[in-house]
Amino acid sequence: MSARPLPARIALAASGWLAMLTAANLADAAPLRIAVLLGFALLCPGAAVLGPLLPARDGGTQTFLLVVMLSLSALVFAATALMLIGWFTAFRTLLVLAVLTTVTALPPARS
Amino acid sequence: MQEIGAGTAAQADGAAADAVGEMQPEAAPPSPLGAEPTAEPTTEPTAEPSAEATAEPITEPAGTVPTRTPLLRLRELRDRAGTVTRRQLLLQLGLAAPLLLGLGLWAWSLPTTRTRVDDLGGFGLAAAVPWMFWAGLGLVVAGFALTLHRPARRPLWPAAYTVALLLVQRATQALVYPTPLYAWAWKHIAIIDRLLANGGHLDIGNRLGAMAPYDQWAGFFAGNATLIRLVGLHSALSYAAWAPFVSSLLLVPPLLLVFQVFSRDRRLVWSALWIFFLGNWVGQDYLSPQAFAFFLYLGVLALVFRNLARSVPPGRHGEADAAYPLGAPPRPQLPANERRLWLLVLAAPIGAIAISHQLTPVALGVGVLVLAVSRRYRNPWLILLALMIPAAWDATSALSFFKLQLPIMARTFGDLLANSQPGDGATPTGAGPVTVAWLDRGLSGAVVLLALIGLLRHPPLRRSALPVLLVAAAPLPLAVANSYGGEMVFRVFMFALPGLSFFAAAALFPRPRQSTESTESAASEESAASTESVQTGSRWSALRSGALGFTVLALLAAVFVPSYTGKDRTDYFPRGEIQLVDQLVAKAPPGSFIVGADVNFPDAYLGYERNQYWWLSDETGTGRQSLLADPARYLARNMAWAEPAAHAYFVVTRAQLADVQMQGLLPPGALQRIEQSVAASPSFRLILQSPDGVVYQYVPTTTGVNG
Repeated sequence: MSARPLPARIALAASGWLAMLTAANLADAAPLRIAVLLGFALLCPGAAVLGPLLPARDGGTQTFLLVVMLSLSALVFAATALMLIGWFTAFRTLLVLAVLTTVTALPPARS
Repeated sequence: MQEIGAGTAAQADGAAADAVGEMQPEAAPPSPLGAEPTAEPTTEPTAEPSAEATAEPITEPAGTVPTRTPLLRLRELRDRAGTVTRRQLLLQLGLAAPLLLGLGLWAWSLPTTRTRVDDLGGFGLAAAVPWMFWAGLGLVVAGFALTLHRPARRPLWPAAYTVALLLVQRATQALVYPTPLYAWAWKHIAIIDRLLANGGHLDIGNRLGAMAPYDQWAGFFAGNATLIRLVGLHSALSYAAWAPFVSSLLLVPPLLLVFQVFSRDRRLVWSALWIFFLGNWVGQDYLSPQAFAFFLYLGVLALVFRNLARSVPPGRHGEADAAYPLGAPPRPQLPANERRLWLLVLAAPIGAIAISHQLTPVALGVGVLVLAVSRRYRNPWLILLALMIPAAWDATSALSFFKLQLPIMARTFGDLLANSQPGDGATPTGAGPVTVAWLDRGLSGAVVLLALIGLLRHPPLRRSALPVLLVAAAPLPLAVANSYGGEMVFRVFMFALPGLSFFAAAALFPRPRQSTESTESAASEESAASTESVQTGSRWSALRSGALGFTVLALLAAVFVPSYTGKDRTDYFPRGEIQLVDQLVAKAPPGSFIVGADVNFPDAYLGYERNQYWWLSDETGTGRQSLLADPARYLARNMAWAEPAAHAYFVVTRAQLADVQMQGLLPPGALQRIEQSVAASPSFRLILQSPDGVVYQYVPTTTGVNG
């Protein structure tokens, strides 16, 4: 796999902040808000983490599975950890995921 | 057209074969269906002949006279391209027709089904769906069988049919019932609601009693609470009904990846996937931590099988097994640094499983431990991860649970008979529930039987796919270790199902001739007559195999419906029943004591952090005898502790009545007698009543407890 191009890395790094803007500005349960937030939570943290860790192998199915598994894992870790220390809000959970996505998206992917 | 080149002719023949329905293998040339091998086995899909492919360079066969002009040749090419395109179109239409017709019939059946759900009988939804539903399901199965026995090259069609199957299987209920099914799903919604209301405060002690483990393994609920707030919904009620479909759809990628590790034959891979979904009647796909954890569990297994294989010397059968058309060559060993990274990546989902569910980490730990029997997947670091991450969670956040439960678990450990008994459904009562119980157990038995046949029929597969067999067998000891509330036997079946499905699918295919006739490649001088004879035999063999596959899948699909939806009379809660319970919860002040026939009603645990509960179906021994002898007196005596606030309630709903009757939780007619006794007692006052249930409040009498 060639290294992820810079524009793609920047877009991925910005995805969490876009999700925060969407959550803050669109009406409750608006279809666009649901699509953006679900899309971010299910895909972006995993895609960002995966880049610097592993080269893509075995085609799309495995990569897709990994991305979803890592994203969901990040979501439940962040939310549970914040609940355990008594700092939970959905917004803070999203903030943690956005920071994680930004930090891990920016380094070039392994080739 | 006679001058067409050899390569193009072969493609044209392929297209023609498509059009007339000739059956050929998908990927593995030495076809188990009997088609003659023409190339080396490959795991890559063969490109489907296309118009462009047909226009590839054409060579002039020897002996032909080059009399055509370039213009004529172009016209021929165009004609041929047009012919193939039409054939391709026919093929695509032939594959699309059952799918579209099947889904159309299914969609047509929904309005009729919707009108019948308020009057379900002992066979649940299975007896309420009209003929269109069954016809639609049959067409989807038939279409899927067709896609398997085409020389198909793309997974698009089997994938489309799989989504269609999941729609028919797991989305019908979401579309015909106005409210989510399963009391357990309602309980999980109540837990998420509580976390949303209290700002995500977890109580990891044992103060919440039977509900405490949900805070001690809170990952799934925390994730849901976050998503609900972020997208601006009010409750998980908005999407809970769709959980079975979505959670099943999520299982498709990991299952495909697991099966593809052990078979290069895509017919076997897709058949195994279907048998998994057709055999998975146990209903653990609703909105639940176990459904979420099961997805991660299968994902971890898929990634382990694909990326953590080790190179070991091939055994006595190694090379032959690797070349077995239904099998696959062993996965190559990745470099050490990459394996370490994979372990790091796997720690995340293993951790997510550990903080989300009690049982799944145990199944995963046992699975990777047993996997070490196979040298190819002996990985001490993986075992350490799979055991230590859950252990770390259990020793910290879930410690209170183990302090309380370990003595009980130690007492029941090894009690095979008690632990392997199913809970609900152990004594189904009435023609419908008894038949459904036989059908669902028969469905499990059929999958196990097919898996045994597959194991016996394909010794090379038995050896090369040993890891998937080990993982299937690994959870069996759990049935001895703990009853898990009477559910262990069902959970063990679910964890074993992926491995069972793989070998059950193998049972549908004959042993490939090539593996038993090692010298067939030398037999190239056979006469044309004998070749024709073999091909005719191959076609019959292919037809037989296709017919067998269709018949088995159709039977499993038919039995699945009552097995999965046969208890819907107890699992469906009409709006009136929900409103009744919600009115009770709104009336009940904090500290109330809620008593019910059993837990099977919606919103039973709404506000559970401030109430206490008692379910009559849990009564055993002398307690049950006293209850049945003088119900009102027994209830009043056990509810009197709520004095002087007198906030104690007795609730009986339609779904409780159905559950108690169909599962034989109380003797026949007992619940009606209990309710009559309570209605006649001065210790109780009727406070809520609807066609879907009644609620009595306990009223202390001046003379003390009386009946």
